[in-house]
Amino acid sequence: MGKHPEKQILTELSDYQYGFSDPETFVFKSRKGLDEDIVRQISNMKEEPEWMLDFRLRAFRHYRQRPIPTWGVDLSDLDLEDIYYYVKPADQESRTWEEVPETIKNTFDKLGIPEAEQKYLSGVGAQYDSEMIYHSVLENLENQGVIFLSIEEGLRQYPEIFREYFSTVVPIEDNTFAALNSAVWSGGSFVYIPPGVKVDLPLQAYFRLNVANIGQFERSLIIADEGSQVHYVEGCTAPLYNTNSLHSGVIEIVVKKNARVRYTTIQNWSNNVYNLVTQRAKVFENGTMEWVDANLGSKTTMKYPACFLMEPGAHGEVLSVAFAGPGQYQDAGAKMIHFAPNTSSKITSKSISRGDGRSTYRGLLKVLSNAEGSKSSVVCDALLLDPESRSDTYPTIEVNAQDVSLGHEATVSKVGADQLFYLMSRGLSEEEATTIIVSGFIEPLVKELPMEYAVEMNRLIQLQMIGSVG
Amino acid sequence: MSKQNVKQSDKLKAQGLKPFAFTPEMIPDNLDVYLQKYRQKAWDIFETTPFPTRKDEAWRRTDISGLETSQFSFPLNREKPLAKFPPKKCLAAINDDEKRSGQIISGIFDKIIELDQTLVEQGVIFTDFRTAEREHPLLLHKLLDRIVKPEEDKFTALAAALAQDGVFLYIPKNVVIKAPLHSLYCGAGEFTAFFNHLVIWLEDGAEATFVHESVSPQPENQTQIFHNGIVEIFVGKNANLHFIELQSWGDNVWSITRERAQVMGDGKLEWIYGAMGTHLTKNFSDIDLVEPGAYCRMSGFYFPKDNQHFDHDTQQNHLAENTTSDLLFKGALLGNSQSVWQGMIYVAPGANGTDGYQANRNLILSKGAQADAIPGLEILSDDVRCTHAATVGKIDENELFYLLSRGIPRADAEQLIVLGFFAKIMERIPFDGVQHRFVKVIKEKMSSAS
Repeated sequence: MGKHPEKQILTELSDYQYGFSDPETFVFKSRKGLDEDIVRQISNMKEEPEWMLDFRLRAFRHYRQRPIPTWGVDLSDLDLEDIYYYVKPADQESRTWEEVPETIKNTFDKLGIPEAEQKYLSGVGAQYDSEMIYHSVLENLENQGVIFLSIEEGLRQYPEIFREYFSTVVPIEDNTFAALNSAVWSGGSFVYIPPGVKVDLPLQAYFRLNVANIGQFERSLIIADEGSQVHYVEGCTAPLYNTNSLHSGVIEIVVKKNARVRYTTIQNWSNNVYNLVTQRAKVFENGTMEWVDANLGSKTTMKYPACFLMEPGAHGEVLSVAFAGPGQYQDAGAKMIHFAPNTSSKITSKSISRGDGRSTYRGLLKVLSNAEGSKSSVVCDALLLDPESRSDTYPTIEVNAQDVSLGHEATVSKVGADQLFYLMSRGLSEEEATTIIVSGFIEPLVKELPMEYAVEMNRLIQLQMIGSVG
Repeated sequence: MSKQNVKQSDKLKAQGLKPFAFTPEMIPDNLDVYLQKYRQKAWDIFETTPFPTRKDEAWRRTDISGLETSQFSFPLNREKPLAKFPPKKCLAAINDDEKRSGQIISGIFDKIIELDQTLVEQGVIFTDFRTAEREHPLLLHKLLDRIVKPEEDKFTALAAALAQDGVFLYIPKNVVIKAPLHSLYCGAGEFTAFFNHLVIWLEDGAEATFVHESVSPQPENQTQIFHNGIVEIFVGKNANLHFIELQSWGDNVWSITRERAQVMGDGKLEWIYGAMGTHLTKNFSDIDLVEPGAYCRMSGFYFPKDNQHFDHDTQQNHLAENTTSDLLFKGALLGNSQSVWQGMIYVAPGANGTDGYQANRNLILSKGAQADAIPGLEILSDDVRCTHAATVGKIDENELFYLLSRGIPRADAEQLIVLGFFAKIMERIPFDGVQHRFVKVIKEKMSSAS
C-alpha cells in the first residue's frame, strides 16, 4: 500500500466528504499575520468592554514572549504569519436558520445540523470561520434559566457571570497557544446551567472553517452550577486546502458541587488543519467531569483534556480515541491533577495508526501532597495497522501523597492474526474484517456517544479504513 | 555537543554549578597512544560540554545544583583495609558454598585482584581497569568506545577521561564460568571523587555471573563524595551474562552513572540493579537488542529514605526482529525521599516479533515521599506486543489488618508487607548471601524510620 502514495492520497481526498468549500462571502477579513492593531481591531469590531481589550493585549504581549513548543509534535511547517486571524462571515448572529446567509445555511444543511437540531438536540450553536452565525436553545430550557449563547453574546448579556469565571480555568500564561487564543479569541459558546437543572438532550456546537489559511480561535466557557447536568457536543470539519489552517481553541469548564458535565468532541478537520487545543475543567465537591474526545481528522493535533480536581469527591474522566491515518499526527492524551483528598480519575485511551500515521498518548497524572485517598487508573491501548505506522505512549505519573492508589497500563499491538482469520473464514474480506476489529477496539468510546453520533463515528472509522488492506 | 560558548556560560549560571577543580594533568598516564588519545578526547569533550540543566528532558526531575563541584579531588592515599571498613559482610562469599571464580577489591584501598588459575589459562581476563590499560591495550583498542561514547554528556566524558578505577572482564569464546565473579568498590573520605569504568565483554557462547558492589561508610559530617562511572557490556551471540549491581553508598554520595549493554543474536542478559544508598543517584541504563533472538531481563529495586533522591532512566531498544525485553523496577519510599523512574521501550522500524514489557511499582510509606513514574513506548513497527504498567500505592489496609488481627505488632506487619513487596525482585538474585543482606538493609531502614 505504501508503494502507491498518489493513489492513496486520491483515495484520502475522495474519502473526506466534508472537503467542499463555499465561495468567500465574508463581511470582513483581517490582513494576514498578527500584531497589536489586529488584536485591537477584533476587540473593536466586537464592541468589547475596556477590560477585555486589556486582557487581549496582555495575552498578546505574553504570547510574543513565549516560544513555540518544540517537544512532541513538529510545528515548524506552521507559519503563524501566513494566517488570517479574524474572518467575520456575517453581519450578525441569527436565532433562526432562515436569517442565516444562504451559502452558509446550505453548508450547515449539507452537514445535517438543522435536521439534527429538530430531532435530538436541546440547542445548537454554529460557527463559521471566526464567528458564531447561529445560536438557539429550546424554549423550555431558556425558561428554566439555561443560558446557551455565543461567547460574545455571553459577554454582552451576562457581564458579571462572564467576568467571574473567564480565564480562571485556563490562564493566559498556561501555554503558548492559550496565550494566542486569549489575544484573538472569537466565537465559541457561553453556557450556564442553573442549580439543579438537568439538561436531558445534548447541546451541540458545530465548528466549520471555510476560508483558506484561516485561524479559528474558539473560546468556550461552560458553568454548571450546583447539582446541574449537561452534555455538550462539539463537531468540527473544514474544506481541504493544500495550505495550512489553524484551529486553536480554549475550553474552560466549571463543574460546581454535585454537578455533572460531559463534553464530547468529534474532531474531523480536514488534513491541512493544525488542531492545537487547550481544554480544562475545574471540578468541585462531588462533581463529575467527563471528556469524550475523538480525534479523527486534522494534520496535527495536540490536545490533552484536563480535569483539576479541586475539592473532595471530585471525579474526572477522559475517554479518548485517536485515529492517525496517512500523513496525520495525533498527539492526544489527558491530564488529571488531584488537588484535594478523596478525588478520583480515570483515563481510557485508544489509538489506531494506519499508513505512516502516528498516534501518541501523552498524559499527566499528578497527585499533590494533601490529596490523600486519591484513586486513579490510566489505561492506554494502541493498535497498529501496518508496518509504516507508529505509536508512542508517554504517560507521566507524579505522586506526592502517601495514601493513594494509582495504576497505569498500556499495550501496543497489531490486529490479532487469529481474530482476522476467524472473520475471514466466515467469508469477510480482509478489509471488512479489519474494520470490524477496529470498531470493536474503540467500542468502549462509541457506546458512550449518543446514538446518532455513534452511527456517525462508526461511519467515519469505516471511511478511514478504506484502502487499508492490500 | 554544544559549541556555543556563550550558551554554555548561561547554562552554568542557570544550574548554579561551579566548574570542577579537575585539570588535564589528572588524566591517568598511558604508554599506549590510542588509550591516551581516548582519554584526551574525552577530556576535551568534558571541557566543551555544558552541565545538563533541568531544561534537559532527562534531568528535569533531578536537581544537581547542590553538588559542590569545585570541592572535589582524588583521594590522596590508597589505604589498607580497616578493621571496620569495608564491612565484612561485603567481603563474605555471596553464596552458600563460598565458592567464587575471582574477586577484585578497589577504590580507596590498595587493589586486591584474584582469579582462578584455570580461568587465566582459558584466556579469561578479570582485572582492574588501569591494569587492563597496561597489560591489554590492544584488546581495549577493539572494545573501548564501542558501546558508551564519551560524547553522551559531560559526566560520561569526565568519567572516560579520569577513570582511575574500574573492572575489565573479558571472556573468550565458549568459555563458561560457573562460580560468580565479585567486585567490591569502596569509597571514603571528604570531598573525594571516584571515577570508574567497567568493561564487560562476553564473546560468542561465553557465560558468567558477575556481582559488582559499591560501598562507602556513612558520613560523619556534611561533606560530599562524588562518584561518576561508566559501565559497558557486550553479550555476544549465544552468550549468557548474569550481572548484578548493588550499591550501598553512604548517604553523602552523589552518584552519576552511564550504563549500556549490547546483546547479540540469541544472547541473554539478566541484569539486576539494587539501590540503597547515596544522597542522589542519577543512573542511565540502556539495553540495545541488536540481533534477532537477543533477550534481556532487567530488574531494579530501590528503597530511599530521609532526603534521598534516586533517579533511574532506562531504555529498552529493540533494534532487530524477534527480540525480547522484560523490565521490572520496584521501589518503596520512606521519609521525604523521592524516586524517579523514567523508562522507554523503543521498537525500530522492521523489528517485528518484538516482545517488550516494562513495569514500575511504587510503595509510598510516608507522607512526604514522592514517586514519579514515567513509562514510555515508541513503536515504529507493527508486528509487536509491547506493554507497560506503573502503579503507586501505599500499604494495603486489608493486608495490614489481617496481620494485626493475627497479633503481629504494626511495625513487624509493615516490615513483612514491604519484604513481600520486594520478594519478586529478590527471587531474581541467585545468591542467598546477597538476598539476606538486602533483607537486612530493608529491615534496618524500616526500623530506623519508625
